[in-house]
Amino acid sequence: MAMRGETDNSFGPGSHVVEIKDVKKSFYVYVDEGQTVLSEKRRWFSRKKPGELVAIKSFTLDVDHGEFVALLGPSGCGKSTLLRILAGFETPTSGFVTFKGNAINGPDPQRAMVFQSERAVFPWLTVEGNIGLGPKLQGMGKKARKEAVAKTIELVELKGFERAYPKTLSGGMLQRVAVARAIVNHPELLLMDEPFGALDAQTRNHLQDHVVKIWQSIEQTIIFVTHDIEEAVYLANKVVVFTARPGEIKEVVSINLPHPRDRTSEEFIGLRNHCTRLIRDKHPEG
Amino acid sequence: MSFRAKLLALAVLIFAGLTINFSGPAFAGQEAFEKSGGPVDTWNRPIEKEFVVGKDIDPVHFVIGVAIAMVLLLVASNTFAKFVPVPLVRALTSVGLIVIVWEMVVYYKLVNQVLLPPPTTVIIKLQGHWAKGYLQIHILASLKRLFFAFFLAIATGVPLGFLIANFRKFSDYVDPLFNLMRVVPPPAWLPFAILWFGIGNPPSYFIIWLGAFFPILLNTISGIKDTQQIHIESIQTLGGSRMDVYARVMIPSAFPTIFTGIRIGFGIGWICLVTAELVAVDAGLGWMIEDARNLLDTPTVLGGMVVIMMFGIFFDTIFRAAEKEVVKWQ
Amino acid sequence: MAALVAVMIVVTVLRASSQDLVGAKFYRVLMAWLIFFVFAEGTIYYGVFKSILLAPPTAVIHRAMFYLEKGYLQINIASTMFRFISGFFIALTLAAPLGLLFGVYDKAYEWIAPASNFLRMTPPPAILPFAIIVFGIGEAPAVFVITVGCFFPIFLATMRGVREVETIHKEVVQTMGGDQMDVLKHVILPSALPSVMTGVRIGFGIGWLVLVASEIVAADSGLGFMIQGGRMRLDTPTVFVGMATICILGLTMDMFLKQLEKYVTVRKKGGGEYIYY
Repeated sequence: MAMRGETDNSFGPGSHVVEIKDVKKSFYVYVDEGQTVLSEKRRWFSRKKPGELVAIKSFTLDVDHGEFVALLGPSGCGKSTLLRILAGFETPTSGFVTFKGNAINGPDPQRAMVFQSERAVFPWLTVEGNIGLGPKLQGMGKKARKEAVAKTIELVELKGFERAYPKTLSGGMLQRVAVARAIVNHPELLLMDEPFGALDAQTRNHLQDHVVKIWQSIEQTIIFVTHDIEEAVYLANKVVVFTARPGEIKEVVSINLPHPRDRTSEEFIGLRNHCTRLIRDKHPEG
Repeated sequence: MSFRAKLLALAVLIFAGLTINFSGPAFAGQEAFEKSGGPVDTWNRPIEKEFVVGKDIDPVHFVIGVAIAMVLLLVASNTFAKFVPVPLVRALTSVGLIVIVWEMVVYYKLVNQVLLPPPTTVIIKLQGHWAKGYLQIHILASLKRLFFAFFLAIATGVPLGFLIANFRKFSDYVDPLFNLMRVVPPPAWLPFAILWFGIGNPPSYFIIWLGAFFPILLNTISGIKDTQQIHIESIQTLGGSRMDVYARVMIPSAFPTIFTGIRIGFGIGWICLVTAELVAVDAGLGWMIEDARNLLDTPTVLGGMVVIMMFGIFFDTIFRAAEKEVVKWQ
Repeated sequence: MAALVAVMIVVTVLRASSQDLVGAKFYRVLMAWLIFFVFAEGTIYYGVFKSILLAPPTAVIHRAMFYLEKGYLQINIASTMFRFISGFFIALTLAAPLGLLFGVYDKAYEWIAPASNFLRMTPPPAILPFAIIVFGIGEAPAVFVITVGCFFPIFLATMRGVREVETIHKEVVQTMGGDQMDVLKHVILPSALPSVMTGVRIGFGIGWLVLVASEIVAADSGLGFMIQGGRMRLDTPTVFVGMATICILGLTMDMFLKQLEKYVTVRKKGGGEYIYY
């Protein structure tokens, strides 16, 4: 793991970790017996004319190494879709995305994703098993694996729960397992899709501090999707505000406050209000 | 046990179940038995089926004994609740009550003894069969059949279910056939099976396999289809290949459902076993019952029923206990 | 006749295509059936399989038409259905109220549940010889065994359904001023109904299986008897006619049950099941 201070910026053309250029994503919409169905492909045998749903109208962004970027926007504005494109689960309808100079070809442990639902953790494996699965797939030996897993468990403060099954853990602990599972592979890019949305406020704040701690101790590029304005302002140093569907960038807000941030300070509240106004305002500025 | 170890154990069990049928005589005197066409004793002399060994059981003593046992059990379950499980005791008490009523009904000549022999007679008959080895022969024959066909059903059902759930093209071709076959109760295939295979073991293998196959297949399909997208994506984002998705996500995720299917399949296979044995074989518990019926030997009929029921309970309990262990993560 | 079939196929294809049901799948299924029929017909015709073992589809259809003309098939169908329906309904009228009773009164439930979990493991065909001794060959043993077979699934499912009724719903009715009968009518019955339907469906399946089994073993009329008779005469087309009839009957009843289940329960979005009154 590269600790803060030892940067490695030697990727290919352009020194950005992620380059997103002019990405558009749209789906076909079919109506089957009253149910609306989204589809990637046009149906071959159908006589129905599909509608079109534009999730992302046009999106351009560059992300540098070590940045903490928050994608902020109302529900359904396409931010999750963008994250999934970055992760490799979907492909853009037009435009391109590169990761370290290369095109994205499907999911990869270097672009690890933490999902919204805490049920993404595998219920049939213990905490150890879950976290150790990634290294196992990469071919790491048993001893090295055990060490890596132990280190990560300490980082997310789940010591003592190694052999517990997810069934016995709370939502907050499960999300910590999910985060640990993602970072144990030392991914260059960590993608988080509203990971704390389903948790209660206390746990959420606690985990937000966790994420910041992790970000500070390992040099991690994080892209974090949320609809919670305060969360975005609390965590990120770059907040990308989306418009409602079809999604576009309204504004990129830079936040330079030092961590740990004070939710009650004037600057914090000012920035938060700025973002709130951006989101509430229906018409894009300028 | 690690997941791999469990998978290995299951494979060994399946393999054993499939081969055990071919490993020579299952009981002493099997060759003579098959040659002579009936059960024989250790000197290869045919055993008569009608016999009584030991003294008669006095009905009055029997009823009193059962009643006392029931009371003791009840008391024990109250005071030593930890050692004696209450539901078990309650079940045994209900059964005990039925036994007592049954005995008294026949004792007081309310029902014809030929139609409904009292428990005492049934017990004596069973004891006699056991002493001469007659009962064991049939139990073994039945069990061998059942397990062979059952493991065959698992070995075919799970892989096929996996393929059907995952590969649309495959399922489109195979599905219509299975959907039709599934609705036909396995006993309906009996005459067909007898036409093809003659009387003996093969038709019963076929029928039992049919009975156990479909629940296993359907549950495997449903279990694998229910694999959550989020788990598949999770392992992909951890660097998993296609094989990893199949082996590390789909199968563990579907395992509880598959196991339930296996348990249900066993139950139906059990019913099919008995059915097949009533018609299409030459040895086994069902055959024993049917043969006894033809001789109006009601005690054996009832005794056979009781033995079948007890085996059914025994296996079901084992399956449920195993299921609890397998599903501990759910 | 062929024209009628052709019209039906064309109509089905048109209807299906307007609802997006016609796709690659439809053609694959069609191909699968065509292959099957050609294979079945061809192997017999060219003597690959002995004609005892397999009957070509044409022979089966021929035999079926013959039986239909003579009324032989109808009689057997009627006989089989009569047995099944009587057995099933006796089981239903016994099992549902008893299940309700034992479900509602906790004390009774605690005593009966372990025993019935034991008794349910008896395969009904095993009871058949005993029933024959008691009742003789004819309708009675078959109906008896079917009743026993259908009884336990319905009984156990009803009990479970009643016991899983949420206490909170019962309390709501009580705060509205309802007495025991009202709780029963407005809470217990509707909530337990889906469970009962599941039990009915399982009981149906087992009953059907037991029915065919008992007919093959010990009956003097009905589809199972017809199949067995065909086998003894080495008359394979009859065997297939019987099996195909059982298959069609089974499918129809399956569809009927599914419709019934849909009519009785309306699933609300979010997983709750409510009853359509």
